[in-house]
Amino acid sequence: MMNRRDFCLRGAALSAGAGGLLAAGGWPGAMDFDKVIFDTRFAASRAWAAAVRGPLGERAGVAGDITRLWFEQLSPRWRAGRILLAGMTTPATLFCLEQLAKDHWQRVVLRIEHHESIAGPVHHRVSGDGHSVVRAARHLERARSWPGAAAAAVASFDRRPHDNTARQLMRVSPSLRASAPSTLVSWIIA
Amino acid sequence: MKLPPGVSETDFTAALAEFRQAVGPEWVFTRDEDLDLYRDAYSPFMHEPEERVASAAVAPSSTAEVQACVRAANRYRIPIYPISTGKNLGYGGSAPAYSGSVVLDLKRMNRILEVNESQAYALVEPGVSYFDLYRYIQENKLKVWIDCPDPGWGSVVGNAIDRGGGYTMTNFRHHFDSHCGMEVVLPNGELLRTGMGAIPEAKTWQQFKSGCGPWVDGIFSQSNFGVVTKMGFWLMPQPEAYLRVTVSLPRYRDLTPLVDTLNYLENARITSGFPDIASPLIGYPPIGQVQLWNETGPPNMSDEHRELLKGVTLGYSPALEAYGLKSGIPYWQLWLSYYGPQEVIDAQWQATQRHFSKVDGAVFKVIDRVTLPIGQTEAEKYHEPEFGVPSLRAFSIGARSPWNPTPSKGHMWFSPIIPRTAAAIIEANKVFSEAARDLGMPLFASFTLPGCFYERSFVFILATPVTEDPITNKRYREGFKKLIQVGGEHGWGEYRTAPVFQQSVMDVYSFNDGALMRFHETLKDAIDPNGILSAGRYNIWPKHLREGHQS
Repeated sequence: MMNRRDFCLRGAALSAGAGGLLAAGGWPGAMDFDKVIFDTRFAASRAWAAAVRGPLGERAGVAGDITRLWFEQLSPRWRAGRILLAGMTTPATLFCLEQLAKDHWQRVVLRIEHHESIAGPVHHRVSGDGHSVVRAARHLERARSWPGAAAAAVASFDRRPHDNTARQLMRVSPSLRASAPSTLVSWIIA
Repeated sequence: MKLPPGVSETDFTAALAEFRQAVGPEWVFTRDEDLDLYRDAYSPFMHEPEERVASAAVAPSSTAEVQACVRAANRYRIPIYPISTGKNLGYGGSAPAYSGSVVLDLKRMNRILEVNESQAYALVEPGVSYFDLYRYIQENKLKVWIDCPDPGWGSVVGNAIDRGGGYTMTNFRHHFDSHCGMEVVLPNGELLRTGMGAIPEAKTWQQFKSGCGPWVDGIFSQSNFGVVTKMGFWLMPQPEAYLRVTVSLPRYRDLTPLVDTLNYLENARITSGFPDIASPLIGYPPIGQVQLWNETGPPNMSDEHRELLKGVTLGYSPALEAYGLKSGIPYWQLWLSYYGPQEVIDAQWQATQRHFSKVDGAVFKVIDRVTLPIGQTEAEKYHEPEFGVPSLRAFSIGARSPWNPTPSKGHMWFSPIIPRTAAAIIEANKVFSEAARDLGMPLFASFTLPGCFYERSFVFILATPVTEDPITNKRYREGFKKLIQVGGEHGWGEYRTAPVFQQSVMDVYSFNDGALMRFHETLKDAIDPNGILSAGRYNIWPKHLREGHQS
């Protein structure tokens, strides 16, 4: 079983060796996730999953409930060692995965809450360590499509140790014209 | 370095070194980011300094390692707090009852030691979850079922010693009642086996519960007298078929024959599945359908119906009843289920109808007939735990949806036990709704029906929200304690509660000037003289903390 130190080193190595991933169609420093999880019920989440393309990891769609995904795919992998997950889901789905990750001493290292109203902008709350939050916020500032920006922020997450101080930033994006108010969250569990 | 209260840095450093020696350095956690994992995700003290947190965590992988940790804790007087998997959210999670304790995390002890199909039992360690046991049974094609709570991610041992419940047959739903035999590390590190397990080379540890002499298993549940490292459970033989039915009754007064008849049928084992009382007229769902309602919304209700509901008192108004009779909407609906051979459950259903047909206007309906076994996919069409299939679907209860626009950040379960009578349901609603209204508590706002998890009694299991606002949380905590007190004044007590409320709950159990708590304290002083184990759990404090303890 990979221990925590090995895992951190693996993450650092992946980030450092990002050139190959870029050539394959990803982002600079793209992570190699064991699973990329999205919620099929939400257009933004589907758009996010479409943006997280290439070699970043197998995509898995859920409709809120992660029982099957966890039981059939995540749990067996977790039993073999630590895993790296990314997603854009409802907060409830993330909460569930976060609690399951605790069983393996893993945690959410990047969290971007997207609060979308029917008419009006989308508010993003980015939480994580200082370095990651600033990087993610930059993606959200530049983007025309916030799900794509969230995908870029997640995919280019830098696993190397930086400033470990927890930080939050708020950013605002134009709406995708949601049919109903929703809160989604992009995240990384490592 | 965070220090446990009353422990010097020198002693704590020495204790941590011994813990590392016992379990391996990688399984002793002291960094903040690791200790954050042991915070209660539903803490009623969210964002407040009073939140109970761990000073360190230690994760042994065997009984011998638990013994070594307990002995080290004794040497340095370190408060330790065992958890199995820490998933009892709403009842405290993985955070210690006494802030600053070292969490003794048993989730690495996850061995399924035996599942005996012919004798229908399992012997497991505390880190085994319901999913683990279910997976093992499926992979080995064993013809036994587990009884699991909802969600099913928790520990089989942990949920039992917290006296949690499930959804299958009556004799398996109370998880502590369905256990058979324990192995316990006592606070001095000594190893104890209960029941027949006290016989060296025991042959019936998981077949006969009580052994001979005092039966001590109960003192290791909801307590702090030992660390349970193995536990046996009786499993349910895989039934041949399942039948789910409803019995609908038209009038408010029919709640009395509904409960009385249900009691007879269940006590006589004519029905043995999870009974679920709903009210289509009041708009109160059966527990087994809450998930569906949350996902797809409640059944349609006319404007007239909705308007009439505003005029009810304790769930009743003559106009609402008349509307129900006119519209064919039953006041009460009892969901019953049966497990067994088809011919047996058909006969049981027939007998059920005969008993309920004494109520004027009773309507009977078969909802589901299922030939067993079924796989996980088919079980998803139903409330999975009623088929012994663990699930995580319950978490969409907290999801934002058009029917739940502002989900809370967590909840504290308010869980009083009341008598299994219609009169008690109505009285409890009267008492608690008045108190909750006065206290500004979001409970009992409309007529509330209890659950039938346990035999012979009802239990309300009501979620009091935990919010991101400390002022609101403080108000809810104080209101929660007051509701506990109000319940106690009427002879009702909680069956289980989060650490923050354990003093209030145990204060209700005060017969003969607190004789029960004095007995608990006598046991505590004898069994754990250094007071290292789970200080304050269910308000049992070691002698040195008894004065001025927190709660």
